[in-house]
Amino acid sequence: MSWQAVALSRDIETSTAADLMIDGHERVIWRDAEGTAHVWADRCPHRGMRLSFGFVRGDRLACLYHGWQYDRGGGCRLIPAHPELDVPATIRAETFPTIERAGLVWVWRGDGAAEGEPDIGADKVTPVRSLVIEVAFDRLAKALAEADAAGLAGSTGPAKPLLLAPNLWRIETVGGAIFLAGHRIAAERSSLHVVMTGSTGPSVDADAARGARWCEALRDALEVRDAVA
Amino acid sequence: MTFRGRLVEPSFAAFAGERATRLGLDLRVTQLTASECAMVVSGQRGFADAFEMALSLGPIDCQIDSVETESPTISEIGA
Repeated sequence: MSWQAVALSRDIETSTAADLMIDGHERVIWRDAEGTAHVWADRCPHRGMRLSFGFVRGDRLACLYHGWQYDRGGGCRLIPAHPELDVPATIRAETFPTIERAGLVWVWRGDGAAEGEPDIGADKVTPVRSLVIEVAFDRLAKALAEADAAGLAGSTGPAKPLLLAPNLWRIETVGGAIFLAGHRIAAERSSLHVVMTGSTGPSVDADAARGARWCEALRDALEVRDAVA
Repeated sequence: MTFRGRLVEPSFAAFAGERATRLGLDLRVTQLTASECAMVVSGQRGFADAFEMALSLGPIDCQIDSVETESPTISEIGA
């Protein structure tokens, strides 16, 4: 049981909803009008429609199909066709503990209440990018363990990503660090969400681009290797 | 309500129970066979209608051919 990053905060705009796959399960990630991010099962309790097709209305997510509206806690608050009905608390979307830290949206991975909060050791970060890699997550983890990040680290000797948690790596850079938070999308598909610290001023875009290119090269190498195999 | 068709009894009963709970309805099954399930449903009318619709569609291993509904008489509801 742990927190796992599933998206860059920057990529989830206010009052929008998007689909997301985590460990083979369909989820909806949405941000309410006040800016709070939520991750739920991507399924309306009414007729099973994907809630990610729906619309954010203030602090509620409305299903595209019949307009049933769910509040931040997942409870159904309005059935437009029957506004007179007192909706029972049992009609609710399945929700998952969600929190934003260090420029990332984290979801609790496990049953029961979430424990603690995700902590990468830095709060002020610059988002770099998310990327999907067509490879099993354990292969991605193995590749990161063996990767040479000297080009990023600005060192002449080998520099390996440091494993901070089962799905989180840190690469030291000149004056800062790049953090790679991964999540398993499905059996043969993974994702990395990349943020960095220490870069400010006019060099930030170039530093972010360098970090992104390193991750893209890792992705390309893994996918080519899979294609050859 | 009485649902008639091809019923897998445990499946249909579980589905009915789960839907009734979700919709905040009280449910009492009075008869359950492989071809018919009769039940008394009480609660908000709109949700009772939704319950009828849901059970007429599922569960996937059952096929409902007809639904018969009747509202309770005043004496039955104790009014």
